[in-house]
Amino acid sequence: MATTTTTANDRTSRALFALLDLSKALSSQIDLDALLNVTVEKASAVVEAERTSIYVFDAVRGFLRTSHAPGIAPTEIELALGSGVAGDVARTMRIANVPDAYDDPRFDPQFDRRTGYKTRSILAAPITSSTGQLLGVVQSLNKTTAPAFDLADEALIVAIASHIATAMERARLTVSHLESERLSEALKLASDIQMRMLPGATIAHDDEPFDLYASIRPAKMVGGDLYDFELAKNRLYFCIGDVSGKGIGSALIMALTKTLFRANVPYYEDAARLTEAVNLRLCEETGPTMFVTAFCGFLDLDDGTLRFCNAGHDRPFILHADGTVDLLESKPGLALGVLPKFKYPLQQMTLARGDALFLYTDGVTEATNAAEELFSVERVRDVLRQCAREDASNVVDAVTRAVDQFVKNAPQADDITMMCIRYQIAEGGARSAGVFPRRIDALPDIMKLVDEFFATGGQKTRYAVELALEEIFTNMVKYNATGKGDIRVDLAIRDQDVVVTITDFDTPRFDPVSEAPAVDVNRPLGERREGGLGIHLVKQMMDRIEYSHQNRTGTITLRKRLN
Amino acid sequence: MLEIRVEDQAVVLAGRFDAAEAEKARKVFLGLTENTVVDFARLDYISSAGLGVLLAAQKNLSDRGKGLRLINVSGHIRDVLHFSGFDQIFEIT
Repeated sequence: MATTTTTANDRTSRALFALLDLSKALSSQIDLDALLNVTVEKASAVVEAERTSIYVFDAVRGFLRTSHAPGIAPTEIELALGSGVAGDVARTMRIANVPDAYDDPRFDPQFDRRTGYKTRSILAAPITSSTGQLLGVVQSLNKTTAPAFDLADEALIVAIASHIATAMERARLTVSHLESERLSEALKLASDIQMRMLPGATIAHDDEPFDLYASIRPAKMVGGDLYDFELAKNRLYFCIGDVSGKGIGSALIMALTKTLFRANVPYYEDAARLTEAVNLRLCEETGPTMFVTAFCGFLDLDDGTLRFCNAGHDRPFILHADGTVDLLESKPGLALGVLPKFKYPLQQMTLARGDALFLYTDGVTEATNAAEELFSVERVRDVLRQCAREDASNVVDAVTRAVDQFVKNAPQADDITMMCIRYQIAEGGARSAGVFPRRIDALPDIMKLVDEFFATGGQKTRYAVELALEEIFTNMVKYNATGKGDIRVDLAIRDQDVVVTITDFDTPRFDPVSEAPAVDVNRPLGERREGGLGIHLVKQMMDRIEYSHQNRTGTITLRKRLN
Repeated sequence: MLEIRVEDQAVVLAGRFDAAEAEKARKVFLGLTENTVVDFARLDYISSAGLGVLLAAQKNLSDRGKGLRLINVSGHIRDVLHFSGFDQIFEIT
């Protein structure tokens, strides 16, 4: 009996060591296939079996499969639940200890017939997860040291199954973690690509007659908001938009919308026809549930004319040069992607010098704080009143800060996008500007400004510029003597033209070009009158004269080719 | 600034004949009663305000059968006079 005890002890300790070995091997494996390969080797040693296989339960398709039966052809064995001994173990989730396979009705001898293997004893245990879900079956065949597996082997295979379960769960978690990391890498890449599709915060330089700044902050990694702008000669294209919904689907439509707009810009003079072209393509390319609100326009940098089209977007604000703030009057057309043949109206207004347009998406007005209050159009207007005359970047920053202070720690629900475009003549370069009192005796000071402007050349053009400037200025003083405030004069060179801009900030509409009486210079002396000669000379000597009037601000822009 | 020197049947102009200086010149020109030569040699600039003064003076003198003769007119000023049709109502050399 002593011998038997020793043998039993030896066997127990060998089994324990083998189990420990298996446990170490399992804990170091992350790859599921490698893990199962290690297991089948070690498990056979533990229970003293000829071979061990592991069946992995495919929960989606509802059957077991194994590729881990060394010595057997690499074809995978698939078992339906309830079929064969392993299938029965999987179905009942109970251990099976079969002393003679051919005596057991559950045994399927086809495998032996096909491979020439002779199955005698079978020991199989279910592998279950910590939550009791079936993960697979571990099955050992043919006890090597005895005709059949005993109770000790049963305990061992249950222990093995539990180790395998832990390792499989860990491997699956690792895989899903890696997959989610891969997904988040892909999203980060998508976010980079998406942000790179947008043109950056500004293109305005000191020598551009406008100041522009835009910002975008997606709520998720990728967003559905877009903005764009492009300068071509004296025309500034701009666009802001918001795709319905959020996430990757919206991001793709955003990319499509931005690209469609940009691709069509060179072919359209008219913002409404441009919008119709984009709408038609969007209707073709997107499903019926997706739509895009957008506001696009062209700003003529020579005279401030703004031609725009609104496709269901929030109305922008106009920040006037005098510090007042208004919502832009605009008829909202239908959102893009809804009706392919929708006729969008073209709308037009004139920005006076110093006026700015503030565009935004509803992520700004619908930013929500912890108390579920919306930031609202009114709050945007309040902030804009505080910073109406500041640089475009300061305007956008001020609204951003106000939104942040309002929502505090509440999560951002929607993309937040803003764009501010101010129509102005920037200082520096071949530019001169000054403000002058509404008096004829300001003329010598105005001529000093002209001296400064022509200091580096252009003398041949100078006479015409001096004369036109004097005539328009004296005209403004004579016909609007009671106007308040000063008159601004801007001189600039653009595209080989000298551009003279004279702005009266407090005047009724009076277009000297169309409203001044015509002069017939071929009349005999007796019929000649002094009046009207000034405007006549301006028309003769300048290449282009334009008048705009908005909100009591009258602007005359004169152009003369530089010689 | 506009410099106006009145000589025997001649007015010599120098500088800028613009809206800021026109009223000063108007007094001089409306006081003329004889055929007068106006010397533009040192005049740099004239605008419609200056032209208005010349026109008023020419009308005055014309009533008496007299007139202004503009001499030493060149460059841009000649263009301005032409655009104004003054080459049809003044003798310009």
